[in-house]
Amino acid sequence: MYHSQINNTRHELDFSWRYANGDRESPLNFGLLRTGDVRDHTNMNKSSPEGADASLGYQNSWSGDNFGEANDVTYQVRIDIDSEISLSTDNPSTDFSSQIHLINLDRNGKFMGYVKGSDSSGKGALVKANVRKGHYAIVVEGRSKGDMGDFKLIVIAVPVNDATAIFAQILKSYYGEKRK
Amino acid sequence: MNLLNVIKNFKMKNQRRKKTVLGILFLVIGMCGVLAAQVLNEKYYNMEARFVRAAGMISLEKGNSEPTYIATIANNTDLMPTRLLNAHANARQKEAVCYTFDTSTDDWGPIVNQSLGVISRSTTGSVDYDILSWEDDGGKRCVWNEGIDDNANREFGSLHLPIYLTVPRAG
Repeated sequence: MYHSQINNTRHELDFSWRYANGDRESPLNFGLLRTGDVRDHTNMNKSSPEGADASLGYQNSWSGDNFGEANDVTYQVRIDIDSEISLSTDNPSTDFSSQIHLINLDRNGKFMGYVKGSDSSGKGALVKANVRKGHYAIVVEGRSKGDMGDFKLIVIAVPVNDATAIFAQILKSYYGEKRK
Repeated sequence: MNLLNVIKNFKMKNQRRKKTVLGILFLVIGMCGVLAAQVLNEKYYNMEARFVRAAGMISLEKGNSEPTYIATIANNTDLMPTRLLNAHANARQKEAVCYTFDTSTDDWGPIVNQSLGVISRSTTGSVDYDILSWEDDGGKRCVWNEGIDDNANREFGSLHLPIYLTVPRAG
């Protein structure tokens, strides 16, 4: 909310914004993710405010098997070598019950197959999966219809055989000390 | 002897300089990694501004006041505040929202939450806004000085959204 004063009067403006991309048809794009890379993005999956234009919020664009009815945000990533990737919203920036889906895409960004979904009960969600070279969509959505808020998605790729130790090391350096 | 010392000192200083330069170089490279865009196409924004409400009497009006506001926004392409409204007398304002109410107190007027416009796929993440207010004494209510209007004043500026908001605000 923006307050200001002119002419001995006050007025109140409200501003809303979102990243223009992040819908199923126009994902936010992490680009090429090489082993050892760590990427993150802070975003939200909220609907547009009451009375505001629909383009100011996200909607439920993935439905059917494996997906819920909550608003979702879609990211895209390209992997150039067989890797183990970790996708996580389990951090203090995430303030709603979230889940993550990993989806295999074709070269043109069209759905090829469902890879894996998160299995968690708290606000944060985690997916770890061995993936082949290719294009993938990462979908962050609420666990139940109406679950929405802010989140931080962290994406890590590591060589398949070294995954567990490297994930731990990267997360430790990312957050510093141990988190609860 | 002195000359040798000078040469030795110069060499040592040069080595230190090299180390410092290398250190700065590594720091810069490291910072580039940290500051590099995490998402390639995040620099496009959908934005909307809405006029919510206004309050108070226009300062020159002694009795009942009819404060009138017109406001508009535009995509900010030069990152500088821009005048968007025509403040000349009798000027019709295209695509500006008009807000009016009658009051004899400094209380808030009604909430209208009216859209000033939607900007899709902005590349600057910045909105220009311009608001003009006056006290209306007759004539066309939303047209400045078509009648006997008082005390027009304005505010104009820019709002650079993602600079100070780290999380999108859609609710």
